Amino acid sequence: MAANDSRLARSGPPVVLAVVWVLLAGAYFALRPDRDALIVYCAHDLLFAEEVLRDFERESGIPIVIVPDTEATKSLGLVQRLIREKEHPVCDLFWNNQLLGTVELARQDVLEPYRGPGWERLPKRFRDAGGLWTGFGGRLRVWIANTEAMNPDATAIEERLAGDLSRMAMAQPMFGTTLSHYAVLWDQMGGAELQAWHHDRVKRGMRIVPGNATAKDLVASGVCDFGMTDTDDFFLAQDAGAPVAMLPIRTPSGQTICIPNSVAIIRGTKKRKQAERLADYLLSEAVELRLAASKARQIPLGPVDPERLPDDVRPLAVWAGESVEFAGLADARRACLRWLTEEYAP
Amino acid sequence: MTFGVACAWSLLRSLVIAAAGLAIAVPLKETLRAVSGRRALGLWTLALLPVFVPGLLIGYGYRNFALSLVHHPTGNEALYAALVMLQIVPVGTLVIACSPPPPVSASALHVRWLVAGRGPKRRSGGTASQLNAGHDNVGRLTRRSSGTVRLPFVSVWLRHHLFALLPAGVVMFLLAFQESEVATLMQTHSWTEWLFTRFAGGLQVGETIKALVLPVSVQLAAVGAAVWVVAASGGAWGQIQPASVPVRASRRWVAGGYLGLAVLMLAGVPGVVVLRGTWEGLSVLRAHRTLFGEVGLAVLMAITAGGLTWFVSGLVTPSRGTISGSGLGGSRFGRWGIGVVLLPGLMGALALGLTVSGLVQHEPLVFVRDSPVPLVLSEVAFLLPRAVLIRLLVGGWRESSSVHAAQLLATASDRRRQGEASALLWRLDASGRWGGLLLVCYWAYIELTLPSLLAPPGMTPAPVVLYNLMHYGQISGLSAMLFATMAAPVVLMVVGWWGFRTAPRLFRVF
Repeated sequence: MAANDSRLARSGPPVVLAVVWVLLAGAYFALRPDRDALIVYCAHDLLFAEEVLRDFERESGIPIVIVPDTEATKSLGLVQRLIREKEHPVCDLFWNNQLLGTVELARQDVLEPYRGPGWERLPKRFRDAGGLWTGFGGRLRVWIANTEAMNPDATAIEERLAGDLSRMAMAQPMFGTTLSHYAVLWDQMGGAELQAWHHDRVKRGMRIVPGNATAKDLVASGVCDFGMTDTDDFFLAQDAGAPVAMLPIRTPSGQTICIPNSVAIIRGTKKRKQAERLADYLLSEAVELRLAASKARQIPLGPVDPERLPDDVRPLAVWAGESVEFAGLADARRACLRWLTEEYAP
Repeated sequence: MTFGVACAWSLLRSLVIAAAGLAIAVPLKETLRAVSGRRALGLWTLALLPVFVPGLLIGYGYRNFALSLVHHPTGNEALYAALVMLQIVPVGTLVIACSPPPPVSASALHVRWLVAGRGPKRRSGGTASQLNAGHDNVGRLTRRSSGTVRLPFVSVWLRHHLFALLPAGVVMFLLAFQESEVATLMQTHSWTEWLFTRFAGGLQVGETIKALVLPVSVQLAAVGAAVWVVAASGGAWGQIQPASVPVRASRRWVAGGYLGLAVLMLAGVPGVVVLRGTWEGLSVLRAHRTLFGEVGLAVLMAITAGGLTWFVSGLVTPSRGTISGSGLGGSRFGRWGIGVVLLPGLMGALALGLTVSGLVQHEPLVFVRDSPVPLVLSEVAFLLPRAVLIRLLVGGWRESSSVHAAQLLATASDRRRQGEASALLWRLDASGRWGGLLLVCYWAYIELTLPSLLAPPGMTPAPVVLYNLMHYGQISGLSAMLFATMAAPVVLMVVGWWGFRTAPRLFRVF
């Protein structure tokens, strides 16, 4: 018997491991999503997006595989991945958490047009005329201020912006909504002036941090006094009881910056019908209201029943109406990103 | 910061980390070698604990504090360097402990110093060789056939310290130079973060590979130096030599101080941060049940990659004591074969992942892109050097004659003797291999960079999912998810260890 033990001791690890592997592999292949699952690249925060997508899965019976963005690169990683995969597409539908990256994909011929009921529902300023992409549920770029450190008003922020900026935080402008913000400034100020403006702020100590959530955290914890972020991040801090207030960032032309989510179908998809159904679902009033009621307080961009809007989203909807339009900013984004890449990763 | 500057900064920091690590690893090794029995097992376990703390946990535990240092970037860099150094010291300690004695021993060095004190070219008259019996070949180093001292003291000093410390220093340097996960979460400057950012920003495959030339060359040079020393050392690796002299009190203090600080900073602080939020965040676990599927997937991938790595390492690893001056014999792969097989893993996960990610985007490899094959094979290549090291250690500890005696005992007709033989065989033979296999699977489980780059759609393992949520900072829901994700492999390893240890006895019952 002990001889058997000895043999087991010698051959045991591989044998036991093989048995465990077979059990796990069996479970995985039994439970894994259908091979026909719709593959959705999703740059929106997974904590919010996953619930919406899983509900669609339940309601429609169409299985979904979600591919999220990475911590370090936000939506830019997925946009570049879609461009790399252009010849052999993996993704069926792209849910971007901003717009300009999607416009770039349209220019690179990565997207297929679709003008369904969802596209019809959204205002012209938030959709591509040819149906290559459609925007929905927006976020505003805002100043976030620590109310224990300063008054949360435009005058106080202007005063701070004129002096030392070592207690101001801003996300790395190569990524996410800050890139969209910079593209707007590039368009309105011109490249040379934006670069001078940026260098001046960096010289005066502006802290550049990995993302909007980090900028928010630094202000909420009092490490910085004020900074730039998005409304969804601001509300997370406010809900957590942090001493923060916000006001919308205005461009040199006096407009606000409302950055919509966007949805687009990928050229070459083999699941066109399923992708269309998901696109219409995301662009529906129900999903816009759901995103508005979420902790992220996304601003509905299509017509919705105003009675069903949460109180703190109503003023945001007014500001969103004063926003710049993004549809014509693809060139500005491209030029701005080229400069920022040289600036931060030469 | 340009890529060249980022590489230079990483190089400088890694050299400092490796040097500081060596200064701690030497007294730690001496202290650990001076203890024996169960106490030694406990101390070695404690000393090696920091190596197994996942980078994800360390990064999460220090993320908020690192951000609070936004006004003091130097402080943040120093904190990061300290954490990396604390984590890699045990690896250096292990390498030093398992290294063969240097050609010039400490006592030989001392004698040479005494000789040198009377003049660099004084005739030794054979005194040195008489004082250094056994492997202390100071006589060979200090005399030519005429008996005249030729080599200066510096050369002898280098031959002692180079052989004793360089391999460990190189291993620590490589680990520090390749580190990317904690660096990203703590937002410190490194070539890894630069390259990953540029890759995400659209850097083409050819340019990415071109950029990799510089860091890979640095690592190749380091590996080459270590290989040269290993080949020239002449002794057998993988055997921890018992201490021959008592350890000085100051060295014991350094070792004790390190152990306390490392456990506190790498396991204690992140552990408290996670546990504090876990209770409050339990509801998040109930709401995000997909996490359990992702944990299961991570376990499956870890067993697949870990098992395959362990199997391949068995083919690659030379038999005991054959890594010597005569070459890396004893392996069916041969000296160059081993080098080729181990090299991709020694270059780090980022270099490997970016290269493979680029290759599978194009014909003729694009057909495997959407399968787990690139990820699993990359993990095997990445983990192979570690698996080979573990096999060498296990081989070094295994006493063939004792195992053979236990096997003979197992053939006895007396059931009590059989039971004793079974327990002995477990302790002398199976436990090392089983433990090694579990460790490799664990490393596959906590690896982040490769699955971030190569996991096919729908197969993102839980640690990577959490990594992508880290921008939320330290929140209770994330703490709970992190706890569940990191507890899973630990529980499975404990159950696996216990189960296999107990299995022979259970089998006997039936």
